[in-house]
Amino acid sequence: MNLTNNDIKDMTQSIKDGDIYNTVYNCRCCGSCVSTWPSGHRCSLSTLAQGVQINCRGLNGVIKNIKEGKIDFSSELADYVFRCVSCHVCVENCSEFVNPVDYIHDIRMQLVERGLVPDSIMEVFKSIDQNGNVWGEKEDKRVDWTTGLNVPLANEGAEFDYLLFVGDSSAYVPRNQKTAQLFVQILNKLGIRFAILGNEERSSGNEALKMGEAGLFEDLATTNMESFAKYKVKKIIALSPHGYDALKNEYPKLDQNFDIEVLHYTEFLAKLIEEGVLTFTKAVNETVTYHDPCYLGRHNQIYDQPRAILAAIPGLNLVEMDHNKAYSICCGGGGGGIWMQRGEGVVVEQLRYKEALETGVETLVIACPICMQMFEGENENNKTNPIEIKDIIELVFEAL
Amino acid sequence: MNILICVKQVPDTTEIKVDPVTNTLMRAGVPSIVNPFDACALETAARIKDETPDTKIVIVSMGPEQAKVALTECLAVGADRAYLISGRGFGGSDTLATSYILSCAVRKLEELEGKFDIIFCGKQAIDGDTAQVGPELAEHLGLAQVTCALEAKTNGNTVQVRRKTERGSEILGVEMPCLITMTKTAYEPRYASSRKKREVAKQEIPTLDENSFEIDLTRAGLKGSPTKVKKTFTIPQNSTGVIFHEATERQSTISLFELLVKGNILQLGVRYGNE
Repeated sequence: MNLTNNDIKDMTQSIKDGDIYNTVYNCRCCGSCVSTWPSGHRCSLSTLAQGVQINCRGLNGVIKNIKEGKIDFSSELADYVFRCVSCHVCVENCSEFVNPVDYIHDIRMQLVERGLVPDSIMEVFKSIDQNGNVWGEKEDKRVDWTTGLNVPLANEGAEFDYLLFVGDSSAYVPRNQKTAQLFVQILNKLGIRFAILGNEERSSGNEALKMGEAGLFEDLATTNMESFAKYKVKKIIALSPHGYDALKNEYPKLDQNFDIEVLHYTEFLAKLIEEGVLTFTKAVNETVTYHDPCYLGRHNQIYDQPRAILAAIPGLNLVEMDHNKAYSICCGGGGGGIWMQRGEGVVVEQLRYKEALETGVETLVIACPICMQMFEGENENNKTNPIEIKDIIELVFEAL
Repeated sequence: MNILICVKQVPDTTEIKVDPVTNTLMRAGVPSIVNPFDACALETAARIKDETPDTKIVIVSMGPEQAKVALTECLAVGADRAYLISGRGFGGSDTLATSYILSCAVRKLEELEGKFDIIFCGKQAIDGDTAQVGPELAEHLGLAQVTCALEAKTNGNTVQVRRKTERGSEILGVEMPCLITMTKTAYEPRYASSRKKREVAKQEIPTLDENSFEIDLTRAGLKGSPTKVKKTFTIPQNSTGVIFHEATERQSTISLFELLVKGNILQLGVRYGNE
């Protein structure tokens, strides 16, 4: 990109105006957002939009054209920007502090206000609006996963230290329900006083917000925060990194008095191990690899706690993938990616799944229900040579 | 450009059940939605507005006070004004009486909002499925009409309409003013954001009753309705049907074909070969 004097003038003006798009002019076209160390992984935008060379680098050109009024808001633009899975690889790799994910979020919000939303995403918005969850399930089925278990409800007067924020995927998706069921059994074994909101819990709003439906996010967050206030919640354990990110980083922006301590379950368990409260009695003789969920890793810098839990489990051997921690490849499910249709060819989740297979380990370990669904989906397509996928919770339960 | 869209609030038929004893619809607890064909009409009008930004979209609905919820949804999608037609004298109207009341209301709305270039209706409401109100309204108003439209685009003083036919579709040109009834379009109605909904929730929706415009009340309500419903009933389902889940689509097709031949529904001929 050759900057003209006018561009530089414009950039200076943008910085003065506090325009979020100002950093677009910092792009030096180095391509590190598209292809990351150590091997040439391309960004999710380029892998999800098959056959078209669009990616974070190309996006900077698109942003510039939108800013200058050369590109209109249209359903074609929506089909493009809704392919970003907000994995933050581009942000992490940019030496010039360009943040395409912020641009994408802003463009998505403007598209949503204009009603220009891909059909599959519109269905999710409607489901959240009508049912309070992203999966189109009825509100009153939110606690079905607790049947037969001792799971105290906040609205039944349970006294608790921690509110367990279950999240839509753990409450409704059968594979993730199993993990949630094991987690509450772990809490009960350790004598932790906890409760859930039950049918009063609403979607955390992370997906709504990241897909640009800021108004819907505000509604959900307000309802959840009213429940937190009603039950005098002081500490929250979130099962999903997506819910965790919303509660920890987005809710305080809506309410400056929001002073609840929010922990992802990996932070919580790692702390218990460190304090000697959580100890393991059984060996789990498995060789595993760990996938860093984007909303835990790059979005919140939680890389060490999940590994500390794995290291504490006797017999467990961790083999890292080439791309790990800040350079981890996304599962393809974040930022609404789980609902976007895929084109032909290799997409981002397949790249990651292949990398896990190439380590030759028995088990792919995750710490996010969306990652679980994405990789189980890959297993469905690979019935001859599938890899076992486990949540950290399942390994902890086995070792107790 | 001035566009009027007639919409109806209907129960979401994907959620509705029929009372097995009385054979009437069990509406309790069933969510209400904007009739899907009317939503297609609104989207078509919104697309015309995208192309011609000085277009005004006015929405009208006849129904009880709660139909204002449907009107608010339409405002959130991009309509500029909305009116509710509601009055005791209008209760129990059949399609003839409804279209007559709407025609009287349209004349009043033209005094308030200016002459309408296009009036859009859904081809039918999913609760009654008569498909009569749109065409009857055109007759009452003496307007040219095109039914079952798949898309409509303006071009000068005419509207180019692609309409569904039994064998596919045909393209017609119709001069404005005109009335167009919309069927399911290839495009989905656009999304109404939560912020937009909050914004339009404050917008006033005037109600027009029998005293708001000129009308012959003997032609409205039960009195003005020649239709008499003797009985409603659900058709009993005799068979649960057969679903073929063979390894491939081709094998499933062959199994279906064999069943149809066995039941003498299809006969093997030269055209079908030996499979």
